[in-house]
Amino acid sequence: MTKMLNLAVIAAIGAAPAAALAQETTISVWDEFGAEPQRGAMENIVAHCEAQIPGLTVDRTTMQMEQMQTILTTAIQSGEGPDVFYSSPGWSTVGPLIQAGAVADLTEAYDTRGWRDRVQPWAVDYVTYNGSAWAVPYEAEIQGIFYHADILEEHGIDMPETYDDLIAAAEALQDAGYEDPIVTAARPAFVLGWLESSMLGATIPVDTLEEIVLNHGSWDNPAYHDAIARIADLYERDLVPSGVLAYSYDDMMAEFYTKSSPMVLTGSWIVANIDGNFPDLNVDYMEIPPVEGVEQRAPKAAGGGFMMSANSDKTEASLQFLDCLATPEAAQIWLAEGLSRAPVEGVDAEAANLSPLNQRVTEVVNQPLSAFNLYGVLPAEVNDATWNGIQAMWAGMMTPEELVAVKQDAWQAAIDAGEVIGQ
Amino acid sequence: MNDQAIQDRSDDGIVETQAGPRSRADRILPYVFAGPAFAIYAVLVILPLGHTFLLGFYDWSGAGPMTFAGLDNYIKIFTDPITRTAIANNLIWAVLATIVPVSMALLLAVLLATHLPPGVRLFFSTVYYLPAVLALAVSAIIWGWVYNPAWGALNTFLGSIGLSGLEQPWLGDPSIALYSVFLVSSWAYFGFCLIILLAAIQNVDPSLYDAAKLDGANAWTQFWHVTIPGIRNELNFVVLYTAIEAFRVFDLIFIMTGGGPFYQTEVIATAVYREAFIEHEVGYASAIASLMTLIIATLATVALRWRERTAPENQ
Repeated sequence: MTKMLNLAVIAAIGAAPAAALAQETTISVWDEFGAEPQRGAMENIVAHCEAQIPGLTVDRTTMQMEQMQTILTTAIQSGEGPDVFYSSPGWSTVGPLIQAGAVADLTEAYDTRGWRDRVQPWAVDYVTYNGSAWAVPYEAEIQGIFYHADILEEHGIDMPETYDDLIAAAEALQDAGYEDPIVTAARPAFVLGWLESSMLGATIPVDTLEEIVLNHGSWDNPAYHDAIARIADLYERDLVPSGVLAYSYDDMMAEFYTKSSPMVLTGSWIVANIDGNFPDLNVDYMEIPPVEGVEQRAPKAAGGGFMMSANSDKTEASLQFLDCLATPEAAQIWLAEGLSRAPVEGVDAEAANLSPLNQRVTEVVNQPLSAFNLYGVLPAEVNDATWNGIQAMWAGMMTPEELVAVKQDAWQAAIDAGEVIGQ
Repeated sequence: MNDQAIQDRSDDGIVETQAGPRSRADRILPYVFAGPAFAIYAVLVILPLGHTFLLGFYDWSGAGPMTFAGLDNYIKIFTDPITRTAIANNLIWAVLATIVPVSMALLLAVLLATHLPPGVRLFFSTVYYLPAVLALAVSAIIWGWVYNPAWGALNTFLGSIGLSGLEQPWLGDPSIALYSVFLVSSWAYFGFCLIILLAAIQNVDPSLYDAAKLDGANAWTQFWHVTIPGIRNELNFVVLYTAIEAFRVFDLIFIMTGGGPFYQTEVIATAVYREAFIEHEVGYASAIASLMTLIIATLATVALRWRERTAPENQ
């Protein structure tokens, strides 16, 4: 029924015109969608695009993201890589590939094929580095707190509206017997990046962050010191698990799904799993509520995007495939069948028959404002130093002041090496 | 003198064979047989090693142009506190690995060989060897559950017997995380040592023990003066092989701690992975990998020399 409704919506939107290729062309595409529901949805999107672009055949290879990231560089360098690949478009991941000239600059395609009208502006910004756009973003994500609404309701706790409300709510839940009111994890270290990005979104005005990230300002400033102090404070107050440094992502999610912990700091990628496997859970989403003087923003990210290899010799076919992906028809299939959000305009979320949680997340994703997702904008070595530094701070091996100094040193080294955005 | 080997009859009638000058074909033949294997070895091992060593002299992200960096990467190994921690951890691991599982295996091998009938011995040696059959990745996952701070079997057990004060975040406390992983390594590895040492002990001539008993030797004296010399070669092999393996440790740490918290369980191999594939510092990772290769090659050379010097025919 959902699929029929979805097809009807696509028919109503109208198929985007596509030119036939001059000759039969097979392009190779690497992506990570090997599991349902995204696997089937991507197969249908590919079938849709092949029908829209006469002469196009897409040869898909699926593999896990970690595996792809270890072989992609070598594959592209050796000329054996894919024409199109799906990767995190964050600077941490693709920065070195972009700087090496291995990824095709899609700026002209954005300008001439109407992609700027179709892809949401925040997402275009997210995949734009140094004035050039490098990807068609296809997984709009937000980070923040997912919580069991029924637990909060049972204890008479309203959804927190300020940061102080959040701390008070967590302490009330602790008093009610929840040992770990907010669960997070330290393995892999980037899980702590979600906490850092969310905390910065709640405590630092976005123009201050822009000054640091885009104009190469210093992290050694009172606003960032305050944010790190609040992260230290969460641990000191026992609001996160005392053994958090031993927690893996799976441990964290197990604690949340079993309701041992009422709140978890993660991202919207868990929504498909909740909808598919835990439909009885009454889960809702909130950003970390802001401190006074800071506007509420969720750290949004293009968790993944399709990019084109710079040495692909099937440029036109690859661009037409990317063009098809950036249509509302393809994005509609992605939402309705893959339960995933491509940041493409014109998608009818109501017709996709989403769960209340998925609707809520989709609403937030579609808001124009976004906080910074640090994974997306900082070099890997800066993030690595920070997230391991948070571990050290929680382990008592580093003070918050030392952590800020470590981050600033790594940041300055990256600036000196020409590895940051804007250079 | 012809090209054939010459047979002489000595005074006592024994036929002796002398090697005469070999033909050109005879001289070349060994190289012909060894050639294909060497070619494969050169392409798959020597060339990549050389390439890795050279990459260590460049600043390279893994893609795009390389910048010659001289000795910077090799010097950085000794100035980078994280890499220094990784090297120190690897040395600790290697020392412990050559003591703990080998000692456990030796003790159990002696007990099994001297105190148990063959059927029971086979049963126990099979049981002890079972962890070695499991892939390390599987062992890592299982022990990750055992160590889980919230619902792991170890903390649950400690709590159930009134020792909740000993409950720990076994993989999250920087002061014990490395040793927690090492314990898993010992559990998984000591069965391999046990099988080799048990076989060695069973090959020691029983008459030596009888002679020692007649001379009044007690159990310790028999162990020290009969068993140890009798299994010396196998023991040397086990210790040196263990030391080499210790510098290659990767999978247990990668799966159980990822090198954390705060790099406190990082070893050389995980540092190479992190630098190459997470931080995109392929040049620096290559320098660290070259160091690791040098350490392992040195250990292997020492091992081979030791075996040559201690072989019975060279005594």
